[in-house]
Amino acid sequence: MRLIIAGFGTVGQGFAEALSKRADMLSSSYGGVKIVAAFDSKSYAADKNGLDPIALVKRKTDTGSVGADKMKDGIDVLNSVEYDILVEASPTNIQTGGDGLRYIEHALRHGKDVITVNKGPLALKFKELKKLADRKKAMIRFEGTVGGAMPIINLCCEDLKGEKVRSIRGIFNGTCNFILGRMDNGLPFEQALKEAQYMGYAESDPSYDIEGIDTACKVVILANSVFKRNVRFSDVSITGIASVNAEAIALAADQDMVIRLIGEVSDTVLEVSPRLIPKGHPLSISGTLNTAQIIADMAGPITISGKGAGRIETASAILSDLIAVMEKRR
Amino acid sequence: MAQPGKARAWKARGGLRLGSSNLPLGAFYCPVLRIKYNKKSGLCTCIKVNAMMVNADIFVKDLPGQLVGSLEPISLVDGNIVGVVHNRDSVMNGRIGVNITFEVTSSDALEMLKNIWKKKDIIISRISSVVETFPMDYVLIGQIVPSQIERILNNARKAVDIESVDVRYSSNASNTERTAMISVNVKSEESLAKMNAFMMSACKKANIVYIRGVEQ
Ligand SMILES: NC(=O)c1ccc[n+]([C@@H]2O[C@H](COP(=O)([O-])OP(=O)(O)OC[C@H]3O[C@@H](n4cnc5c(N)ncnc54)[C@H](OP(=O)(O)O)[C@@H]3O)[C@@H](O)[C@H]2O)c1
Repeated sequence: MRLIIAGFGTVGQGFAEALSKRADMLSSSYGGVKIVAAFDSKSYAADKNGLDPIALVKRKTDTGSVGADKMKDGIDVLNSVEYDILVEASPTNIQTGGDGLRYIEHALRHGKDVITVNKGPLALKFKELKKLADRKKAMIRFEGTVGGAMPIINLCCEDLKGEKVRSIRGIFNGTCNFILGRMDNGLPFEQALKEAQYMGYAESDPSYDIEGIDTACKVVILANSVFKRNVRFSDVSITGIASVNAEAIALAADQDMVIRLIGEVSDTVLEVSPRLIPKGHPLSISGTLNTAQIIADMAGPITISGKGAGRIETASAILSDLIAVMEKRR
Repeated sequence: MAQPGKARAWKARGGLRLGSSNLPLGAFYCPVLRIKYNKKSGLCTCIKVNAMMVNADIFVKDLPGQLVGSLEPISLVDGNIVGVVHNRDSVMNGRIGVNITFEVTSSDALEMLKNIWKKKDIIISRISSVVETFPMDYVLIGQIVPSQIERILNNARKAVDIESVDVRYSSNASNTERTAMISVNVKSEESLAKMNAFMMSACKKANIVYIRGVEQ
């Protein structure tokens, strides 16, 4: 299988390392995987015989560029290299879908399979992308877009295929959960946010997380993929956590409850909001883990938990999608 | 993963109003937290069940094994025995009276139990009626005055079948912001959905931030 990696930051590099780690397994079970091109915002590297993943990471770390060749538009790379699968890990843009959306559409239009961790294109154009993929008999997989290493999409769409999933409620943003957990310990919101930034959990502009936008993107992806709804980001009812104050936390604690930012999806619900959760409930956890409670009609409640972000954790989700694609293409 | 030690926390809210006048005083029961221990994984899972507390008088044949035989079906329907009083003074046609208090998770489970008892020739002389209630909590943040909360709740009562309401205010009210917590019990799932919609819209109109609990 010939791969192109679009975006060579934290996740792109993590995935290259994961490929190197699993090279033997991929070669013995699937005949091997070659990175035929990788590009970041300005440069690219390409070799039809395959690039060394670790050398790519080293070059990016040492020079800031993944390749020696300058690039104006990633589409040029997609047009100039023969490949089977596009692994899309460029930055999320929730207004337009950004270049990631263009890359995905381009690859699908040419009948290539796509694995993406980029929420923007899916939150804006899920239905269109799925239709395009179906029309071109291509696959689009996106496990890493929701819950990082927590295998929620493939669990619901594949392992629980025989179930009617009634609802999914979850903690899908580790940054918000870290902040709310610290507020349980008496920290005011601003200080908890500063701590999250200091620890590297929150960006310098944290609005994407604390306003609930990141969780809303994930809720849209779950609604469209698991519940087969046709919704967009703008359909989600969103309340962030900025208005949660110390008094609210204290009143909740008085009743043995905590406040957590919960994304909820069902056939009729599409919501992101802070919620009161009884202590001891699976969704009452603190820290940066993601947790989801799936309610299925026969299996009942199923709770999963895992690292919602991270270099190698997200790479693990891409790897699972890659293996699923290769299984189907065998 | 939930911790067994936290069980009490989850038990404290909402519950069931027992409708029978025959029931003992104070027989107001809450949803219970069941903790399942998985020997293999060593993990505990907490399952919250909206249990119904039931009190029944039954008559079983005065023969060895009959009492145990009448209790076993409760476990079969996934019920939980809370208390058993073997009443040897209450005898009827060679049968002795037993008063049992138990929890079941649904009225379907209770019906199933009644059928099993009948098949086992156990006479049910009385079984308490039960009314389930549905709890929900709301935290409200904003420029809140108690009279405003009172007004919102009065309007909610007109629209929704509310069983009970409890309001608490944060002690640390500033001039600009106050936080309140409202705990309600309503009589049906539909009422709960109505109550949520009502609170959401009332708070939106009043520019109050509203945080609600999770339906169990
Ligand atoms: N980080 C996580 O744990 C995580 C988890 C789940 C999902 N995701 C998603 O994965 C994607 C990548 O995240 P990340 O953490 O790896 O971000 P990152 O570290 O900022 O890396 C982004 C990469 O994309 C490149 N890039 C920027 N604009 C581009 C363009 N127009 N065309 C091609 N490449 C472009 C950047 O190039 P330069 O290096 O030249 O700037 C960089 O290599 C995002 O959509 C994110 O939401 C991330």
